Amino acid sequence: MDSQLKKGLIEYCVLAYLQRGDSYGYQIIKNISPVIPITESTLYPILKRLETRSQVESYSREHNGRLRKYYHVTSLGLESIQSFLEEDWKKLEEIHDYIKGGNSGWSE
Amino acid sequence: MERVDFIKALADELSQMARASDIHQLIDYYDEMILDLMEDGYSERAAVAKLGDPRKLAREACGVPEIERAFSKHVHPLVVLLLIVGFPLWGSLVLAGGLVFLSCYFIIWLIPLIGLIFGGTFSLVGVVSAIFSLFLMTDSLFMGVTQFGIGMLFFGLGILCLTFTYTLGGFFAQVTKSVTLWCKQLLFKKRKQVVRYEA
Repeated sequence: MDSQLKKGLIEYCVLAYLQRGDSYGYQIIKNISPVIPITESTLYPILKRLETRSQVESYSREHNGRLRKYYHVTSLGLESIQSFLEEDWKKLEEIHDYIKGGNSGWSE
Repeated sequence: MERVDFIKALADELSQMARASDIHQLIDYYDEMILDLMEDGYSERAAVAKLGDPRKLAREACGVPEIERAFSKHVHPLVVLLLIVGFPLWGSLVLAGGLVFLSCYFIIWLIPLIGLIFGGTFSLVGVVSAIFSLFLMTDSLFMGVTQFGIGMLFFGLGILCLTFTYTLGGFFAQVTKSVTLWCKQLLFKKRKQVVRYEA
């Protein structure tokens, strides 16, 4: 899969996973990897970007004598998931059909 | 590689390509990742190995595709020719600059040198004066005691000067070391150009 497309989809996967409950970096990777293989270095800029856009918030919690950073999806993040499922996905399907050459909805 | 070595190597790589404020967050992120991997059953070395090469990680984590332009490579022949032809001009300027720089060092170090000369001289004069005052005491006690007092005064001044020189010398040594290190980094640091873009 194209890396830029993959990065975009991972963002929604992260948001979707966080929708189930707050989580931390390693757990996010473990959970998402069966769907989209993701490395530690790929996740960091994605989390950072989501945080910058206020789609996730982070906080530290003590775990086994150390601090672990947890991520929490915000209302903006939830809106983003809805927007992806309802609008972006339709666009993607149109693009898919266009690429396949079976769609007439796209004019020159 | 152990966790500490990995973090050190990563910090070193990040220092060249990330903003200082990001480095701390990235280090925390990877440190947490290693500890979580270890909690998940990985050995320390296996956890570090799973993360990969710190240099590659630093680039990926910053989202920074890096374009390194080694200035030493692929130098145009015309540039080489110009450098050779222009050597009498730029060579003498570089030499002059270097000599000015060295003379600055020399002038700075003259201050503790003068302190050392004064300190040494005063101390020597003090000791000699005190010793010879003993001979003078046999002729005139007043003169002898006066000379002994003056000798002690000079000796005290000498000790003060030497203490001052010692303190100042330490400070100048520190400044010299810092300036030299700075110049070394400025001249021999690997030049690279980093291009950032929004992924």
